Amino acid sequence: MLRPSAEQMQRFSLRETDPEQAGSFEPIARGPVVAILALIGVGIVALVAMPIRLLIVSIRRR
Amino acid sequence: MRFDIVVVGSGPSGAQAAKEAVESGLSVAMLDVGFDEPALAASIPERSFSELRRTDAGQRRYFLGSDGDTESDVNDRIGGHFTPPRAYIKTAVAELVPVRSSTFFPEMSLALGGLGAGWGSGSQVFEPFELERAGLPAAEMGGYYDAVARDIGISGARDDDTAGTSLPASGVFAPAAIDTNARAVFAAYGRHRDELHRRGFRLGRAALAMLTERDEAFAARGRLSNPYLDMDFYTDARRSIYRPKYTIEELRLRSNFTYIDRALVERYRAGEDGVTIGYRDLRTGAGASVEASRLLLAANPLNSARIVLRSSNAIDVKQPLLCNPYHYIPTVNLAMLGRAADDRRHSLAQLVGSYTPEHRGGEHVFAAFFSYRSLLHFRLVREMPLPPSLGLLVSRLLMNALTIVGLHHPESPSQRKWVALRSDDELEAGYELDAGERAAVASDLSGIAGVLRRLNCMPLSVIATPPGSSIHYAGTIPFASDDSGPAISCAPDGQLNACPNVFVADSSTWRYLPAKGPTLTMMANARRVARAAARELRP
Repeated sequence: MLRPSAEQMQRFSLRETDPEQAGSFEPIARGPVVAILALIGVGIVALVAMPIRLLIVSIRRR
Repeated sequence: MRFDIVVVGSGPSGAQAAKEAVESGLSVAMLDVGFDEPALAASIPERSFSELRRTDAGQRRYFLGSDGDTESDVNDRIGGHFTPPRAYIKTAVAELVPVRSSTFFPEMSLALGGLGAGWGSGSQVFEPFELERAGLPAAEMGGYYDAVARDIGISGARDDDTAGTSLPASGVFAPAAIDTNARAVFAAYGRHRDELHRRGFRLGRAALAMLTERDEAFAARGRLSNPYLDMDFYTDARRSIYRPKYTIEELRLRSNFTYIDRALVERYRAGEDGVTIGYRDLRTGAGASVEASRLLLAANPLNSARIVLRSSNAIDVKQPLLCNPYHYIPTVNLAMLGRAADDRRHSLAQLVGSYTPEHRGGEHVFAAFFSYRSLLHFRLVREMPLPPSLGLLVSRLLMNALTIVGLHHPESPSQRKWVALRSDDELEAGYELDAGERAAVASDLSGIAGVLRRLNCMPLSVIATPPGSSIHYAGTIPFASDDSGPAISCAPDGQLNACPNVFVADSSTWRYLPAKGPTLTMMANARRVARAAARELRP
């Protein structure tokens, strides 16, 4: 339910294959500590936002 | 037209069967649909993936395709077989060779080279017990393996722990260089080798049908070593990775070989001194036929079964079906988290693991380790329950550490796995694992998860692919020397029982499907069957 929509992915893939934006899609390699902290941060944001996103998705589907 | 031998299909089995027959001096024809669209792949500049990403304004053509479709295909969630330059591999399959099923979802091909046109090139030999269980003569197969290895070029490491159970005796080049991620996994394996051996796990560098060094004989045939551009899911740069079409191209230079394309074989009629093979000419839609002293079927186990069942008028007769259950396990290699990775790499399997748990009684489960990069972020991001911007951040953080483990399980026949031709001329398939098989697969997954953790690869999830998506098929017209087998079966040399001029040269004949990649064995067996078919015909 919370996966990106086809339209979102269409836009995403067009950006990803634009050579001028290639830098925004490079792997991030700033060491394991930064990587772990960033992943924890994403997890917290995703958890906090999940109820709101679920609500929005279910309203849109009605 | 009459030929000594007609081969149906141009995939790995058909190409090698035809080669064996042509080299024996017989007149050989190949009937094949043979779709081929090399232009898009050939238009890709020979530059590395990362350079193309930064510089090529035309990259959408080959990364996304003309329609820009980024939707997930049922059998293509992560796999690299059917990228836009290779989409032609599936052309017209659903219309021309449909399989009706609600439980089995096979991939087939009518392309020149069949599914071999997108083969991941994993090349393992079967061990003697695996050959015998499949019905193949272990004592004879070594010579055929070597002949195929010399012909197609195989790379692998003789000193790895998996070498003794997976490499041919000859015709092997130096192993492909492994990437930064795989080196970290291999180093972890080295540190815990004894413990992992006790668990039944062995790891080695992948044996691949890939040229890794310059060889003058192959160079003369137009094949050079892999350039490590990480574009192997999109192009066949320098022809380093073997494709069956290369064999067909070489055979077409021989005067005793005829290639008939756009020919969809529908049925044969066997007589006492030969076979009449009926096909539909897809250019005109008209029926046509050729005659041969021997027919070699190598159309893949589903299509070969369709042709045999139709020709035998065997309606509603259930034949067995084998297909390896397949899971893939995305993992994060903790040793690579946040670290930089080398740009120079190939895209295919880096490492292979053989897992032999006690509950399998000696059978192997087979794991292939891939790094992830050239299939782009969007395939990962679309699977994440996150907004694309956050999904991209996660994907960028994990990219260099992401290790995808593809896990094949061994496969034996059962009543619940079958194909049958129905009265409306459609092939129907049913596939369901029984309780014992499901329990064995669950135990495999549990055991391999522990192994992966020991290798510092933390599983993120276990993804069960739909039955049929392993692309390893067999067993529809199995070897049987007595009446205990299914209604239609083959003699040990591939000769169709009750039809002495028809031989089955693909994996349709196998009674068992080990978890290893079957393609090398398919090719070796095809040569064996072709030699048997040619036995009494040699000029």
